[in-house]
Amino acid sequence: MRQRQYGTTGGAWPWLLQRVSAVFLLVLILLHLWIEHFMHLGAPITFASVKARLVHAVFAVIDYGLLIVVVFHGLNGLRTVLLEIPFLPHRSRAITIGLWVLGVVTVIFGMDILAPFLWGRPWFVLK
Amino acid sequence: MAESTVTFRVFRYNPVTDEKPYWALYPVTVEPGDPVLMGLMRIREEQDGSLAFRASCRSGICGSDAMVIAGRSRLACKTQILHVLNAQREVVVEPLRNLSYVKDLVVDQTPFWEKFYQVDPWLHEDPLSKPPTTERLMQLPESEFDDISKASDCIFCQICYSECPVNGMDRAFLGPQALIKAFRFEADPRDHGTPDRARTLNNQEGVWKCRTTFNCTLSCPKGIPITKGIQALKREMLTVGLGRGGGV
Amino acid sequence: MRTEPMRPRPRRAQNAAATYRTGSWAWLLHRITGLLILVYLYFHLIVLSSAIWAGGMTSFNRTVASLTTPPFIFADLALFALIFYHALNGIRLIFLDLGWWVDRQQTVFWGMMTIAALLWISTAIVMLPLAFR
Ligand code: HEM
Ligand code: SF4
Ligand code: FES
Repeated sequence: MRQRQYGTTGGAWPWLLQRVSAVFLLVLILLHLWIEHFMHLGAPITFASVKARLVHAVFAVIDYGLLIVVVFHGLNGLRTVLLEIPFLPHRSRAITIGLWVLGVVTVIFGMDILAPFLWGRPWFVLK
Repeated sequence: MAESTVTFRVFRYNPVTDEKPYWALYPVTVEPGDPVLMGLMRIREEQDGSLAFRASCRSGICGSDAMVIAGRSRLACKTQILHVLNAQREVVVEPLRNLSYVKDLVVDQTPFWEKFYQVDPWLHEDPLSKPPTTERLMQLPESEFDDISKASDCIFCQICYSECPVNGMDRAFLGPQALIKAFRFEADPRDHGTPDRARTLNNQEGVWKCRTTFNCTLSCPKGIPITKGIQALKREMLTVGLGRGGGV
Repeated sequence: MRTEPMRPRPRRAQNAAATYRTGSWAWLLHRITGLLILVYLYFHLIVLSSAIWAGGMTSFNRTVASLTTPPFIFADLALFALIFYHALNGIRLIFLDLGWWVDRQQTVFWGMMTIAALLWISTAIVMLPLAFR
């Protein structure tokens, strides 16, 4: 009776992690928006003020945590969208690998932004 | 009874003679309460014998006459003409979505049935149980029956399949009907088919592709809470899919 | 019988938008907002890093100061709207996955939208004065 199998078995992990990352994001994003926009309402954000804040490890943890979780959630979501486009499911492995590479690069790139505040200078400068 | 005349705007296509589909407009005299199917049958008998559409029971039981009426997939025999008129007093009738049309209102149902068979839609015996030597009753307690009775009502009309936007984008997605059928057996305490079904349910084109748009639930003519069943299936498939052997 | 050609293309004869109802609009918007926020994320990272790379402290301060001018405050408010929609509907989706209130998904949707709207309005009340000082 079984004519052919549609799709590849699996897919529970990406689905679950999308939801787990969403729960983390809910907390982290609201904290991030609060910190950047409302905590010192009206006071200008400067290099010095950010540096002073990042002295407390908790802020660095929020920023780095948010970076990792948001990149995972966003790109994993993009993967869902891409895999729904007709004909792309056959490329699912290539898409997954490509997005992982993009994600790791993005996280390193993003971490570099905070490096000057924590260690005085960025890890790398592209110029 | 107050008779009135309406126009049937019907999607017509004959693969042999027509290059592409066109609209045919038929004037039909109707009475309040007349279903769309009656109008189509009258057109076929009195105006144009070549009009192709499926129908059988005329009472919402066989599921043959699902079509897109006034933009939504419905059973022609359960839809009253006067409820679906547009501003020009037209009834717009088209073939189901997400399945390719073959002739006029008839679609090719092959993918729908293929996907239905994919979920092994029958009761699987416990592979370890010994064959019975005496008569064996396989009754369900009433409370368990209530859980699956709704899901058993499906008449294979394909309306949910036609209304699902995810099916519309990704033709490989199993679709609501196959998933609710799978739920009907997965929720049955007598069934032992989970390992067999997991291949297609815990699958990128299986439960995980459902985006909970509720179109299936809202359009099912039998009122089956399809989305709710699929959500229960997802939770069941988590226990299968997160472990080893859950696939890539 | 009269006949009429189908325009513009036969495949398009079926108006897909007609199938959309609360749950499907919610899904479409969730997808669009998610993708837009992802695009914004990359802008955000590129703007900040190039500000630092261009010359450390001084250029960072200059960039951030320009980002708090009125046009950007309005842009921020638009971004907040996207995030609040996506986040609150995301909570609804997680409820659905847990099997909570599946029979009342439309009520839950509008409840979440009310919360999102209230959040956005309070944000606007706090942030708009900054644009007009
Ligand atoms: C603020 C907290 C957030 C929550 C609670 C949340 C929740 C969710 C949930 C539950 C899904 C799965 C939807 C589904 O399977 O139908 C999802 C998908 C998605 N999210 Fe988020 N999200 C949040 C923030 C973000 C952010 C910041 C981004 C952008 C970087 C983002 C981008 C996406 C994308 C692209 C998808 C895929 C959309 C789709 O499958 O249609 N999300 N989100
Ligand atoms: S689940 Fe409902 S809409 Fe879908 S095929 Fe069965 S009866 Fe039709
Ligand atoms: S003709 Fe049987 S369901 Fe309508």
